[in-house]
Amino acid sequence: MHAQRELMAVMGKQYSESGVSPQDGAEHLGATGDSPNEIMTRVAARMAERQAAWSTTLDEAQGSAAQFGVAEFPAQPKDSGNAELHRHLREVNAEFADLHNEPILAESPATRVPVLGKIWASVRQHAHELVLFYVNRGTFHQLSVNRRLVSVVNLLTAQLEEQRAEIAQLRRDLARHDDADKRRSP
Amino acid sequence: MKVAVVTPRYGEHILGGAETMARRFGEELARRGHVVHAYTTGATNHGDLRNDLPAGVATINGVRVERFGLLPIGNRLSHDALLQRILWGVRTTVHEQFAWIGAGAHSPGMYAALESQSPHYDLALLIPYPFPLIHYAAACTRCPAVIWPCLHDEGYAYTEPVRMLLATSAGVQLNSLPEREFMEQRLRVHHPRAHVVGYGVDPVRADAAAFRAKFGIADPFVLYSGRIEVPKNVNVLVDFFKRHKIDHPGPLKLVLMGAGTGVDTDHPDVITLGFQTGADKQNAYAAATLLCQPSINESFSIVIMESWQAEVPVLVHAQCAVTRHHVERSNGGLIFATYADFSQALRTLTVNSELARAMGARGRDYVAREYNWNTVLAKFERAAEDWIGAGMIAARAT
Repeated sequence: MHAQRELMAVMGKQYSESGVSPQDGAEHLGATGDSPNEIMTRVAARMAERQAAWSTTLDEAQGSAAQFGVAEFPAQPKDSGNAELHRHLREVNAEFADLHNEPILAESPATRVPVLGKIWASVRQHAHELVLFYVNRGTFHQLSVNRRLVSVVNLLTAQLEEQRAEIAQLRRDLARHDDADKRRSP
Repeated sequence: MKVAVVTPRYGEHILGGAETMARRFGEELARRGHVVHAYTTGATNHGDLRNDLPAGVATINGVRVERFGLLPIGNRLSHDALLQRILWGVRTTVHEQFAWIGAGAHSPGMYAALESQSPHYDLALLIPYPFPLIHYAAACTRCPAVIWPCLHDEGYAYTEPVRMLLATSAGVQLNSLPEREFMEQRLRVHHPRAHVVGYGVDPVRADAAAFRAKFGIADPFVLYSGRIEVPKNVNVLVDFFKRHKIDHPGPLKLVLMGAGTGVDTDHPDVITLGFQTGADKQNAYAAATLLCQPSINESFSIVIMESWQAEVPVLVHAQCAVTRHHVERSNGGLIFATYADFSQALRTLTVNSELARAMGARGRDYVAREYNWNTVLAKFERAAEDWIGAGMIAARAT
C-alpha cells in the first residue's frame, strides 16, 4: 500500500473528474508489491544488461552510425598520395563536435564558509549557467557552421580522390597506348 | 490480433504527428476487428512530459486507453544540458547517452503493467523513438516489441541507445522509403524485419467559404499547420515570407495554424490561428492557396497529405528527404531550398491557379492510391505476421 500511495503522490492529480478510479493507475504495482523505486531499479538493470550485450555486437555486426549532419567521411585510399590531407581530415572529423561547455564549479575558500558559502555557491552556479546560456547560443551556431564546412571538405576530398584515381587510370591507359604505338612503328 | 500501442502521449487533443498517428492507427485497427489497448501517460505537452491528465482507464473510439503516472525528472538542469548536447550533435559518450535515457521521464506503473500484461498481446507497437520512456518500455515488453520510430535526421537518432532500440526489436515499422534509407545508410541499422507500412490519411470534407467566414480571412494565403517552433523550421518560413512580401507586395497572407513558441510571427500579413481541430482545420486546407511544410525533419508529414486531400498543392523543403519524396512521386507541389526558390514557388502557385489546381488533384490521387487505410492496414497485417513469427524467437534470445 505504501508503494501505491507513493505513486499516487507522484501522479498528484484529482481522479474524480474523469470518472476513473485511482486504483486503475497503480493496480499493477499492487499485483507485484514493488515500489516505483524497485521497479525502476529492476528495469534500469535490464537496460544495463541490454547495453552490455549491445556493446559487444557493435564492432561485429552493426558498426556505428554516421556523424549527425555531416557528409560521409571518405576513407583514405591505399595509394593516396596525400597522407597529410587525410590525417588532418581524420582529426577534424574527430574533433569538430567536441565541446566542453559544462560549468566548472570547484570549491573555494568562499564556498566553504558556513551558511554564506552555500548561498555564494548557489549564486555562482546560477551566474555560470546564465553565461553559458548566452555563450551556447553562439557556440551552437558555430558548431552548425563547422558541421557544414567539414561536410564540404569531406565531399571535396572524396571527389579529389576519385579524380586522382581517374587521372592515374588515364595515365596508365595513355602509357599503354604509347607503348603499343612504339612497338608498331619501325 | 491483440495489439498494445505504447506511446507517451495519447488523446484526441494531443498535438503531434507521431501521437496522432498512434491514435488513429489504433482506432483503425480496432475498427478492422483487432483488439487494441493503448498504454500511455498523463502527459499532454511534447517538450515537458508531466502528469497533466489523471491516471486511469477509458475507452476512446474503440481503443482501451490506460494512463499511468510519470515520475518527475530528477536533475532538470543536467538533464536538459545533456539533451541540448545530444540534439545539437555535440560529441557525447555512449555512457552519457544511456545516462540521458535513464534520467528522463519514466513511468514505473506502465513498466510494471507491461511486464505483467504484455504476454497477453500478439505484439506491442512502441512509438515514437526519442522518448526515454519508449526505451524502458521496450525492455519491459514480453511480446514481440515493434518499434514504430518516426525517425528524424536529428541528433537523438544517431545515439547508441536509439540504434540499440531499433536493432534489438522484433521489428521496425517505417512510414516511408526515405525513412528506411535513413535508418540503413546514416544510422547503419539493417533490420531484417523492417517494413515500410505508411499511414492512412482520413478523407477531408472541407468548406473553404466556411473557413473564410469564420476567421474573416478573404485574401489568398499560404498555410502552415503544426507546431510553430524553430525545430520545425517555421522561423525560415516566416523570414522567407516577410522577404517575399517586401519583394512582391500584395494581399497574400501567411496563416499559421498550431501552437508553439520561439518564432517571431509579428508581421501584419502573418496570421496566427492557434491550435485548430476538426472541421476548422480541414476547412483551412481547402481555403489555402498552398500549404508550406518547411520542416526538414519529417518521417511522414500528415499535413501535406491532408492538404492534398483538399486538392491544395504543397511547398516542401529540399532538405527533407521524406516530403521531397512525396512531392517527386506525386507531382503534387514544388520544392524549395533557398529564398529565391521559395519566392518563385509562391509566385507560380498564386499566379497560375490552373497549375496549382492540377498539382492539388495529383496530390489527392497519390494519397488515395498510396495512403488509404485499407492499403496501409493490409501492409501492417502482412508485416505483423513476420514480426509475430520471428519476434518470439528474438524475445527468447534476449
